[in-house]
Amino acid sequence: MTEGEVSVVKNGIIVKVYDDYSVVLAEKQYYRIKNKDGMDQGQPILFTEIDLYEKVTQRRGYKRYIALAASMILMISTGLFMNSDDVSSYVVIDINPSIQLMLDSDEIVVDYEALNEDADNLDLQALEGMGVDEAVEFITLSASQAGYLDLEDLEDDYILITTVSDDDEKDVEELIAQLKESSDIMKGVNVAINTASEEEMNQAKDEKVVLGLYVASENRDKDDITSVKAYFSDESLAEAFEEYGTILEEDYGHIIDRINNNLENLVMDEDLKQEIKDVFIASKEEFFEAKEAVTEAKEAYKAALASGDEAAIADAKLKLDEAEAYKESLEAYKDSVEEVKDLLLDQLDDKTGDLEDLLEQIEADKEEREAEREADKEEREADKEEREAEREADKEEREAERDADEEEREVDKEEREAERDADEEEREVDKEEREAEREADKEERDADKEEREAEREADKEEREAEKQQRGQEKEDNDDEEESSDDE
Amino acid sequence: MDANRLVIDLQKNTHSDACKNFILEHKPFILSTISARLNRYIRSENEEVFSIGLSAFLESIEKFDPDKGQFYSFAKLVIDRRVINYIRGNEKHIHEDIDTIQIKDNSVSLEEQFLLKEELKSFEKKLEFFGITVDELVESSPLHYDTRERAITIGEKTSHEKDLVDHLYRSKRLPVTKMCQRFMITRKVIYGSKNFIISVIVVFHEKLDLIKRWF
Repeated sequence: MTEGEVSVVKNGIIVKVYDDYSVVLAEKQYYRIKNKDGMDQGQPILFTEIDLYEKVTQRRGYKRYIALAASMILMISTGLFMNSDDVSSYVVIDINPSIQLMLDSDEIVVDYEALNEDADNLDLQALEGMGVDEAVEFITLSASQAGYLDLEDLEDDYILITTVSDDDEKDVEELIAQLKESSDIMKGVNVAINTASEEEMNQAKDEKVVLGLYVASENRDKDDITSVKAYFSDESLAEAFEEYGTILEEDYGHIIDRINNNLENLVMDEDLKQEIKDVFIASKEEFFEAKEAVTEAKEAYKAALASGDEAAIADAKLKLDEAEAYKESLEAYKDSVEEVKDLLLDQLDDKTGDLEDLLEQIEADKEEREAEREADKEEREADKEEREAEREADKEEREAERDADEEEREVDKEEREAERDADEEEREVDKEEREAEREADKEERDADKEEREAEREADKEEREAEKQQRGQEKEDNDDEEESSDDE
Repeated sequence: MDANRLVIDLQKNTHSDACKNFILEHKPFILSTISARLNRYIRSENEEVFSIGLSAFLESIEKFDPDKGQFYSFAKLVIDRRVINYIRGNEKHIHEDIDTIQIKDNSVSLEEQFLLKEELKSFEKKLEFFGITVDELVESSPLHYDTRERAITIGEKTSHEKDLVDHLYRSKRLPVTKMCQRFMITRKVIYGSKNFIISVIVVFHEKLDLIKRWF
């Protein structure tokens, strides 16, 4: 810009005069301008861009980490390892400093080796005899005390642990995972775990690169793998790493606390600061609540499964789903917190970032999530009611069926009884009939008999009559004879 | 184009549109030169000293000679001289008749400025009620013209909705969700310029009409 070419004239009013500058309202916008003589509230004013006042924000330098590669020194070749007979596995810890631990079969440190200058600066003598987990914690603490990592600043800290072992035993990894959960120091860092072969370990040493990254970056430019911190700060690289190893993330509560504490160092409106803190604390509480809820729901679900009660299982499953959905919804919180952190970093870097904007976004997201959760819950509740209604309906149906069956059976029984009755009656009738028949037969027979008797009587009478006739005739004959005789 | 050559070109006809435009384009230059000499801001283009500056600039176009150096340095010098003369003349004037000068300078705006000052004081107090300082409004002002217009429209609309205003005055926070629903806007529009929007609502709701003119 050459002299004379100064943007445009702005026409406004002085809203408020401060000691070093004034705020003016011009063309629908508020500006800070340098104070000149006779500044008065309400005064109309013409000004140009060169009158604008640049508010000086306090700049806070924060620790920048020196690239690892530059400070790396030549390694001692592997042939110089002591006690190599006792060594069953190796663990290489890269924070920068980088340290190699030799472990015996019980995962006890039998020897160690400082792999770079920074490691040389640490007093590591106490390492010998420590368990591997204890040793990792000790190194982390030493590195933080020596200023190689700051657990409380805004930057994410990474500790890379590479295990080198002949067998596939995961003992070391398990120990580290447990340590990550239990140790307050380890909660405050991200722990990346990778495995490598002894050959790779030696290669990495020769190439003077970080072993765990070397292994994860086979096809990558070696320039990518200079510093652990720089590597994991690159999201795509961190993602690529997870194909080879695992990253145990920093404890959520620690992230929150860390960012919260750093808010103090920021030039920012106190109210906004407080607001962010409040949101953070709330999110932290919510997060742990959700975690707790999932754990509880899981237990309840297991118990329900064991009990075998269908309704109870369905109920527990529902609650578990709900708890998990809740926890998942809070993962978004984590992103927001990360964003705040990034913004803080930007701001410390003197870049502009609208924290307030983001904060509002977080709150809006929260409201949205709550609304969603509420809706989900209602839906689930409705589902539940529906299912219950279904169950109820099923039950009623079954009962109705049972009733119907019973009635049917009752009817059958009655029918059968009726049939039986009918049969009996029939039989009775048959019997009567038969008796009647028999009676009739008898009567017939009687009648026959009588007839026959009557016949016989009749015959007899006939025969009597014949006999009498014959007697008469004889008498007559006799008479005749007599008469004839008489004659 | 080189300023020197341009000015020489303009010298041929200082009544041309090109010359007029050239002067208008350099208002900021003229203004800042005057303002620097006076060590105070010019209140408006109606201020006498501004017309002194304008005619001094025209004079510098007419009298510019490239052999003497760069045009802008020359123009600055001319404006400076004329402004100094003006101040001296005024000072003489003040000694002679202080009242007429005062009235002449501020006849229109003196009362208005007083009223505006009162409005601004109550504006400041209201903002304080919402936990906003005037200073914070600077960061909250949308940089882009369209965004600003939208924020002002939202603020004005909100000031007409009684329930929204009530909510704001009760909770000291913008009813963002309701506003979004009612005005069919996204949260993003509001978040960036929350304080700015509140300031607009205050101006409209409190009927700070003199300030309102600036929105």
